[in-house]
Amino acid sequence: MEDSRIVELYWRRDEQAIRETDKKYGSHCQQIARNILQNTQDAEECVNDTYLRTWHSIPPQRPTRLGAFVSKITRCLALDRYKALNAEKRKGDRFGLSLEELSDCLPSFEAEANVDALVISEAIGSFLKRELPTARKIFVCRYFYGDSIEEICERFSMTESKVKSSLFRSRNRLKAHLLKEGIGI
Amino acid sequence: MTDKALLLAEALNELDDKYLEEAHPEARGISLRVAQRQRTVRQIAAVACLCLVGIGVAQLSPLRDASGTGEAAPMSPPPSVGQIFMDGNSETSNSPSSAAGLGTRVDGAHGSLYFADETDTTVTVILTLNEHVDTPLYVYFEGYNTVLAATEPGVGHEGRLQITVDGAICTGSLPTVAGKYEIVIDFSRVLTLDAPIGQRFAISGFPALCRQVSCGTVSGALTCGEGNGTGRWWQEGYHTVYTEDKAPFSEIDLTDGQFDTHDFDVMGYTFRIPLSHRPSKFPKRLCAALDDLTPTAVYACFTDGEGGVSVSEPLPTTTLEGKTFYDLDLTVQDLHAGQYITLLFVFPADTLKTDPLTQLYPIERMTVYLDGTDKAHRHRQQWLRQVNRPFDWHIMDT
Repeated sequence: MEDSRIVELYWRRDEQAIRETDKKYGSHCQQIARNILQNTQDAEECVNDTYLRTWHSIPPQRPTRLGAFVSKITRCLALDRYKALNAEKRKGDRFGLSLEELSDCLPSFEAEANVDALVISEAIGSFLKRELPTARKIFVCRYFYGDSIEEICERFSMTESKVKSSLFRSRNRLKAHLLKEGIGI
Repeated sequence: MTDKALLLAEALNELDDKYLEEAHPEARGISLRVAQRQRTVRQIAAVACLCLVGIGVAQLSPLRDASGTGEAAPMSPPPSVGQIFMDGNSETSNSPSSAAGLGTRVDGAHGSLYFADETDTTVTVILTLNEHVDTPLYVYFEGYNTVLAATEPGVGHEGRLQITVDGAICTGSLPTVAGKYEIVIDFSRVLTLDAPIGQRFAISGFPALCRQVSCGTVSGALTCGEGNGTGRWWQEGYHTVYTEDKAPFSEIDLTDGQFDTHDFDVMGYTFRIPLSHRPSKFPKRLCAALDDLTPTAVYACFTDGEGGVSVSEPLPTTTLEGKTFYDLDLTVQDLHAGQYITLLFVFPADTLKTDPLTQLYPIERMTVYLDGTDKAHRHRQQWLRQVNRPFDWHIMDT
């Protein structure tokens, strides 16, 4: 079913909207939650919460890109759940590692303490706009969706070394970009 | 995980939706497998066009001779088509003009076209016509499979583009009189169609200026396929035979349509090495022949997984059981799982069109030989069961 029709169902408060969302984007949301939480049961709960949050958000919202809309909600909820877990337990997990990789782009911890996530987000957005499509897609897969290197290799039919080197170069460019934007030292 | 990493994780949640859809087609409700196939077939189609232009430059005369006599003329020394890259990262080997940046400028027969500016909803290009053009030019935006919007009323599309030429709103075709024009294309209405945009923008009669991939230069209008794809997966004339993963190739895309270049007819068959295959299981040799057609030449295209595609020299021939086979030695290729290999059969112009049989060339009229091992034989059996349609597939007697 077209996104616009599903959104229309939400606006009519028709519960079929949730079934259609699940049918179209359920497995995608599951993948996002599982990448972050590394636990199928937690991921399922997270996806159910996503539907509830979507139900409460539409209306008033009317997203034109429903897939991206539910992706963000799923990721946000999974991240909250992830943060609630014990820090030690999280140590060394796949999603954590991917973000640790990226956090090196913020040169100074003290410096970014006063930086709003939204400011960083805008800077990353403007950085991605200038990135080449392949590098951008790899970057988003790794750091937004939390895909593993192997998954990215399969997705783009690339070798592991190429994916890693693309990420490495993107991180370096992002670091330079953030510095230019005045984020970090 | 540090607070710094968490801060970044939160920041990433505000990314633009289009980047999320671009990276994961699943966010558009499209399965990854379908998206990958669409991307590859698009690349191969584009490369086919590019390589044919390369071939045309080198071998136009022999092909025309062949058309005139009704016999397939022997190929002159192989053209060096070389590496053709589709990624903006890379150089476009046959692009004569890259002064303004790869993928940002092209020169056509009538003049030049280059990107001047872009916003979230508009693209500004500068069109220079060196001479009067007889055929009116128009602008279109292309999605993954369809033309999403165009200025030309006759073009199948879902929306109309708002075009401004030198500040004045233009409702129809672009100017035909020689001169330099600033064209602003507003595609905001296309964005509301709730359909994916491949970010491919083109002015007819000119090579496409792709913001996503650098297409190099192709002179003249090229069309891919004849659209005779009713009931098939690929609407531009492709359909796919699925095979199971343990088969020598996981799938074959059949290019029923042709790449009509006015000078050649081309038919392509695409094979894919399954993702589950280890290098030791890769096929070593592939031979293919057509029952009732003799191509002028056969080329092989290989994807490299990053949008790059390399094109082989014309394949050498072998005669087996009275048929001429085009022989591809895969051991010299740096193959990888998931790789697509396309055999491009090149014919003199109008060969395919004039033959009612080959308007949709049936796959059972193609014979494929694969390297002969016991393992390959078992694969063959599985493959044939899965395909469930006639296909002349043989094991090479080596």
